[in-house]
Amino acid sequence: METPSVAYFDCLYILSALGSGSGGTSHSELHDLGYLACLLSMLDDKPAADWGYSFSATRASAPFGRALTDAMETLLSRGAISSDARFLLVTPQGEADLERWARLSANARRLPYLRGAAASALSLTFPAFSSGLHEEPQLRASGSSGGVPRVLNEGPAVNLLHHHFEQLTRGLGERRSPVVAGTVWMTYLTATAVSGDD
Amino acid sequence: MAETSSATSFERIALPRVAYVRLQDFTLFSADRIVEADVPGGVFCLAGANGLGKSTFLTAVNYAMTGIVPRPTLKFDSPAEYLKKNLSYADDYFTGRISEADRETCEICVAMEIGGAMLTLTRSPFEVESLRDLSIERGGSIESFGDEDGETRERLFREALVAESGLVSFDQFVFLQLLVLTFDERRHLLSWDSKVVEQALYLLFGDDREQAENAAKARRLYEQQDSLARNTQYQVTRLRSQLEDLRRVVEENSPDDDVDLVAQFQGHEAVRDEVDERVKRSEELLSDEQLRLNDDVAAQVELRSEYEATFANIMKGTHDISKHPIVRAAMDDRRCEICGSTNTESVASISHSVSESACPLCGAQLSAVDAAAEAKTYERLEQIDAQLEALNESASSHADAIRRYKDELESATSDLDLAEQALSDFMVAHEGHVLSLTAEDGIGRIAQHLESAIQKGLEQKEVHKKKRDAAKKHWAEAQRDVAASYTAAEDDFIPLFQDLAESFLGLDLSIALEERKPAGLQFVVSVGSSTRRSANDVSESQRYFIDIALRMALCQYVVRPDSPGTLLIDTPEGSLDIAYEVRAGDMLGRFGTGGRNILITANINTSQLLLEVARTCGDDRMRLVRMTEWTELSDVQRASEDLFDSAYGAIEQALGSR
Repeated sequence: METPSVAYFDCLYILSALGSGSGGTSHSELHDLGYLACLLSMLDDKPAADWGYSFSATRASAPFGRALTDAMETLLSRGAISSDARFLLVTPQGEADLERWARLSANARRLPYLRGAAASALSLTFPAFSSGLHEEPQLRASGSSGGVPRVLNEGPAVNLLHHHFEQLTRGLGERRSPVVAGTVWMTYLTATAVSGDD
Repeated sequence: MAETSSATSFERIALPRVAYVRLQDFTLFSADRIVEADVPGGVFCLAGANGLGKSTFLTAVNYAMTGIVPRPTLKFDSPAEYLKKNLSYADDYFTGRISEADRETCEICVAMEIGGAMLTLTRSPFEVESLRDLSIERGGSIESFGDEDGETRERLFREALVAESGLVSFDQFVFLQLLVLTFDERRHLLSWDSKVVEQALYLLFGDDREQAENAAKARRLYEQQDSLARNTQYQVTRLRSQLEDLRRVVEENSPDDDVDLVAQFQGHEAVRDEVDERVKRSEELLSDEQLRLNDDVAAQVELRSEYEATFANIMKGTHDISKHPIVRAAMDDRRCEICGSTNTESVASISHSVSESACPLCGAQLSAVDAAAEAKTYERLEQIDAQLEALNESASSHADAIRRYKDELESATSDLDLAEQALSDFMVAHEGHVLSLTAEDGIGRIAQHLESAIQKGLEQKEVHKKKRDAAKKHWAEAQRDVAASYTAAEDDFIPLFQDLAESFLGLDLSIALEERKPAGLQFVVSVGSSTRRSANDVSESQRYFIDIALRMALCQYVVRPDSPGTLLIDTPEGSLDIAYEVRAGDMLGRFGTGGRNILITANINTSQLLLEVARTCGDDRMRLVRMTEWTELSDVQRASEDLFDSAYGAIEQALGSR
């Protein structure tokens, strides 16, 4: 199955947005941000299927988007990104591709959510961000059920997610940017992770 | 062989004379299992007390001869219908008179003389159109039909009788026997029943007796179609009345201020129609937008597929080996990323492979990056992207339009409900006016149906009238023919009647045949200068004996004297005074002595009628039978038995005195 074109764009954008600070972006950060960006589009009443690719929860209750991994490998072989053992970096070739691809309308429409995800991550330390994201209702439910892999954004746990969204909407209003929404939500989730409450 | 009347061209007929009667196990006559009597020519008088079964005896004799007992209420239409419709009544009549124990064995035997034959037959009262026995004697030889079945014997009897009579069919004989030759307890008067008179004239005076049935059919068809035409007219009149009532209701409910209400009604209708139009328009627009959106989405799916494929091609076909991380590390760090070697020759080897577009690891030749091709592919990708964007905007626009039309449709539907409710409320509040306002349905349609039904009724009436008129024409022709035959016979026939009737009434009496519309031919009796058209124009007793005189005259004129039949008369004395009793007796007696036959039943009393008959006939032309010997008398009658004996004695003495 072909890797959707949006996955390449997401991969490049996330890596570019996180930059070379701390040596680059890890594989798990890539998937975490990709997942958060998808959730932010759902908060904006976009259907999960419109994101272009799906996510599943691993045994470690972490989000995993297969398409992102496939895109990453292709971009590596293309020379658009570089990798050492742990981190990924965008190359100048990658930046050139990113600039070009950003002009394509399908990619342009998802920029707000990618920006929101990146801004949320950059406002926190990664460990805090990661543990906060694990408080996302679906990932939390996955962890509660013993870490059985499952497809995210489908099934009954989505209702819990929508409950969070309703509260966010009530608090932030209809006119909110994904950056604000993402940052506020992650702050909340992080705080929840710290306090151990929901 | 029939004889021709001297005055006319019609042939005289022969009718059967009753010669012998035997009743077996006839419960009513309980004195003996078998009651029998020889019936000599002249007058045969069965005299008895009330309730002994005199009328039943006459009915039984006629039943034996004809096979039927007439239903009291059945009106005459034609000889064939008369026979057919009376076939089943005998069972009802005799069931009350014959016990269950005698039902199987009860029989009536009659021997009758007609023409040159003696027909002797036996019937059960409960077997229809079947004879238990039959024998026919002709010229000294007797033919018995004991081996045949009952229906065959019946058929043979009928054929023999018709052949001897000169009539055309057995039902014609039944008609004459029961309606002309029999004056029974029903008191059915021949003179004043135009249908019976007409049929009798056809049979007795007509040139062609075959035409008697056709004439009866034509009359029946005329009466039937006339009745249908009148009924149809009645229906039409009723429908017209309903239509008038309908129109009156509408007019009464349309007062002067109707103009304003009409305007209001039309206003409500206009609003309703306008909103209805809005609903329809919204539905159409919504449907159009949905179709356009579907179109855009379908185009998007196709383009998206091409977009992804194009992008995938870019990803696949633009590998620059110099950009591979391992190669870059080797080039930049001058160190092999796989083994860690920093040998300059190894690094130079890598550089060389890259410059030759060969894989430094396996040596495979790589196709050079075609920048122009890639640029072209990107160009295509951008084109597709632009198209997708345009489709996206178009779909978004259609989605917005769909939302708007759905809102408009919802609003228009709601408005339509309100408009229809307003119209309905108006119609309920002004119900009467609505009658005239909704011409295309409701009252208007009812009026149309009525008008259509009226038109159809009028058309149907014309059909019936045409059929009636055609039947009347045939009937009229038959009437004219028979009237002509009768007229030819009048000079001989009327004196016969006058002689008989005047001997009873003692008055100047005449009879004439008139054609009365629509009743048909009818006899009209004139007593002195006064015409008595209706039966009620003469007294009861006068009525009866005028009628008997007519029957006698017909028998004398039309029936062969050598086979004159038997006139059956049931207790005719009624309420005559002494003078008329004598005259009646004289009339009957002279008939009996004139070579004709009467079988008469009478109450045994001090009446002068029987005494006069006896005096007139004498014992060579009259036989008296004491019916008191046939059955059990009641206590009252037994107590007065000597009175009966005295009365019988007087008559027997009168018989011997001639």
